[in-house]
Amino acid sequence: MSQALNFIVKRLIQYIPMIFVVIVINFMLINLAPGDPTYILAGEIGDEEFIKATRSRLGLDRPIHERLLIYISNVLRGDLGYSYLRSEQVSKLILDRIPATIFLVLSAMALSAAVGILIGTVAAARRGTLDVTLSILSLIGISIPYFWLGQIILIVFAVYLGLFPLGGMVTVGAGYKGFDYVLDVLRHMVLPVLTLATFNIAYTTKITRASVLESLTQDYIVTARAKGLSERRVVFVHALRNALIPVVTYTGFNTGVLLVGAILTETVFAWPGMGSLLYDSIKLRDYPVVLGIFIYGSIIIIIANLIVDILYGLIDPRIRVR
Amino acid sequence: MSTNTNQKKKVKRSRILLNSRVYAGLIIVSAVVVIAVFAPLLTWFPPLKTLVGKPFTPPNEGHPFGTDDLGRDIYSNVIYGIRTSLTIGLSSVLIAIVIGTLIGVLAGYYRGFLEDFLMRITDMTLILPQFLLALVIVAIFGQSFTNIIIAIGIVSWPGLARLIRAEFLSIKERQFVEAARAIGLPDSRIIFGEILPNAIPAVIPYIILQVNSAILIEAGLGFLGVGDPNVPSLGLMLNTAQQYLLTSWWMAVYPGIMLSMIVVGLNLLGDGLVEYLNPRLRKR
Amino acid sequence: MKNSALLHVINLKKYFPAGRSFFGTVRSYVKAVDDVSFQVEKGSSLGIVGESGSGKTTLARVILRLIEPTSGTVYFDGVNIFSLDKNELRKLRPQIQMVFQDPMASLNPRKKIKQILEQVYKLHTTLDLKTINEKVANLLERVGLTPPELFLERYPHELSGGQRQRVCIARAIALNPRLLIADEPVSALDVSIRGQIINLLLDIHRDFPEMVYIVISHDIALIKSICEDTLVMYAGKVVEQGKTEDIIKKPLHPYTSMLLSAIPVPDPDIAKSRDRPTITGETPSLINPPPGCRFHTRCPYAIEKCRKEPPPFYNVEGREVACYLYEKQ
Repeated sequence: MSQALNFIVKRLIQYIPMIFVVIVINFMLINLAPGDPTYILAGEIGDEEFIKATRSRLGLDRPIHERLLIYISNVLRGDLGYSYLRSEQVSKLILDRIPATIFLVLSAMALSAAVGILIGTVAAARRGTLDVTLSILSLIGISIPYFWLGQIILIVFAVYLGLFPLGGMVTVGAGYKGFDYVLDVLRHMVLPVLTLATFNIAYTTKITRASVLESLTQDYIVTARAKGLSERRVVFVHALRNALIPVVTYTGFNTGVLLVGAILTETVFAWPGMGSLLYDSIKLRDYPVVLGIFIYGSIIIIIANLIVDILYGLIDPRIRVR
Repeated sequence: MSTNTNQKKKVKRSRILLNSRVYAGLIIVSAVVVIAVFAPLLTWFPPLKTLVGKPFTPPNEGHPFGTDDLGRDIYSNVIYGIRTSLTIGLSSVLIAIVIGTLIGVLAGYYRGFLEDFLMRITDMTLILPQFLLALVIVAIFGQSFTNIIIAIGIVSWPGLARLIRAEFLSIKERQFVEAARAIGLPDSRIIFGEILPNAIPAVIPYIILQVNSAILIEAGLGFLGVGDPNVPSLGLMLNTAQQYLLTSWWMAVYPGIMLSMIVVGLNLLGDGLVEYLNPRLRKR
Repeated sequence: MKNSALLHVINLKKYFPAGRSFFGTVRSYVKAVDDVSFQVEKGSSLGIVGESGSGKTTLARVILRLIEPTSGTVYFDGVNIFSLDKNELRKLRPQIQMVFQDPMASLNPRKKIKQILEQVYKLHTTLDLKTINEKVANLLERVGLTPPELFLERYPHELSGGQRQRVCIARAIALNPRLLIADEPVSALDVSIRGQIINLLLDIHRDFPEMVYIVISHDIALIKSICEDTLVMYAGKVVEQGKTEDIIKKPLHPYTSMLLSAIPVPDPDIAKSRDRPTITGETPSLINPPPGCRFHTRCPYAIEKCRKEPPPFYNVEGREVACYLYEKQ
């Protein structure tokens, strides 16, 4: 048991400095930018009072190493600045939006894992034309950029076919409650999740297929077949179990990419998550929010990677030796 | 043992398929390059010039891809956009190669403190989301063509550095490197003459996929509105298209198709090369 | 320290850090080469015999200064090679050359044979390209790769194992080295080819009478055919040293007899009558070698003293033996 604890501690020690690195990089960016850093932190619009207040709060008149420490302690306390444009604390703005984004990401991850593994296994088991078609499809799937795919899906399914709503998370003004509310959200969710999941499904299929293929050439599969097990059992139970390892690794560590994808996809569907917030803030030149999203986004990715890393180490004892 | 012969046949078929991936990718990529290079010859409207046609016209004879909200010809913008994507992709990867090779070589050949220090930096930078970091850099330092190239270069070099270092570490131990030292070859000659050429098969596919990634990052930045408005960009076009999705589908469809095509071509080429180069090494 | 010996190795040690404590301090060492000394005269040939793990390969690499020693000195023609700086060392390189064990691995797979051999000349001479080309062609002929044109444009993977080793030998003798070390020159080759390469090495030895040969191998038969003198190594230390013929006829150190008894002898009567000590045990780990004589754990003649103190060298019948058996002499 202590070996597991040892491992967790080791991983924590590896990952936590990265959070500091993120903060420091942010700090560097703010200060290296052309112009007065105050404007970056206060937003480009702000009256004289506000700017003065910001300057003193962040200690911008003090030497640089002090400013770094102040900045780090601010961030760690959750203070990312104040958005003058929206009259809100930056962190509040972002934290309000995070759940929506995470919801999207997790749904897409689950969907793509399930579908991808299934299709990939089937493709590996039956070679031939089905396999080739799937290969081509998955190649296209990993090549199409999220945002464009979202637009196309929106056009096809929402505009022309009218099957799904045009955007947002809930139908505005309808005031649904309870079960109706859930259904409403689900309806709004379909297209964004589909968009987000496509890339992953394609990639998961590709990896699963390659992985299962390799497992199928192993000796223990020949043994299983010789024992007289049905082909379906051989493939799904024996080959898949071993083949899953690289797939799980990939899915886990890919959360970061998914998060970025979510940010892009949200913009297309006006899904109220971090992504749309980012888009709007860029348009409005609300820099404190942009930087805040960078920090929070990076931290989420780092934490997600950490969790996956630890879980992975707990599942597969071989990894712990590192 | 009919399953065995069946499998052998299938494997053979897929070997040929793999090679065809490289060919297919090469064809697509060459076509893209040709389009990018000969852009002026392929278009008859200057891309950014507004009101060359009535705004919001669907594809027709004069404008094969239609016009956008400012009356610009979408076809020329797409063609020049391809040129932009390719330029940005190649330039930023070039920056990444220069920095990444330098650091990868130093960390891989000279062990000790230098290696540790460089690798710590590299590893930390690797975890950061490339896209977000590039976004923030461009947003803060100014949305210009050059800045975008530099930003993407900055986020791309760590991956390359790590790969080169890994290659160096493994190649360095091989006996012909030892033999080269025994002859008295100076370090610089060993690095560039002996080790690096043997690292290339592993590095080239990665570089191709990096170009891919760079192009996607640029497009993504453009899509979020972070791009140089004075340069035709596929991403920026999609950004504009977003507002008019309900009415003017052509504004989104064509730029996206071209973008996807570029990515498909590079993916084919990169993946095909990875598999093509590996068994060849195994054969020896 | 001038004597007539071309190579003079004094108290050479090479330890590799093995285990580290949590804080990074080294806790134990692999004592690959542990206090080895010997001399080789000009024109002579020395064989170094030992099992794998005896430290002989590391010894070669330290003599070539491909690895830095932990302590000790190596004099090459009166010059302490460890005191040279990078440039001086590089200038010395053409005089000390090595043929490595695996011919495939010691040639850059992406270079043509021509380029590999030219490189040596380009590096250390100022000859023009034409002369270099001639020299390379001569070199290939010298090692039996005729006609040279057939091999110049080829890549290493297009040659056979024996041919590759010839190229390696060619590379080593290109600049007329005064010392040539061959590390297991034939063990990676097919048995049928070995004879040819051995003959090649003998030819070269004859053509360059001033050149010193050091051949490293676990195969005593090989050493017997090339080398006049022999050094027997075990677990990083020298155990017996002397004329090859003498050692083979009458091995003094128990380990040497053990090694020799493993060589099959064609005549069954002689084979039966040989003194065959049983081979027991394995090479000890070089990390924590047993105190005293390194061999005592496997030695049938071990006495109490052997377990405590490593034996010094005793001069017996013109040879050096490190074994308490010969203490009285």
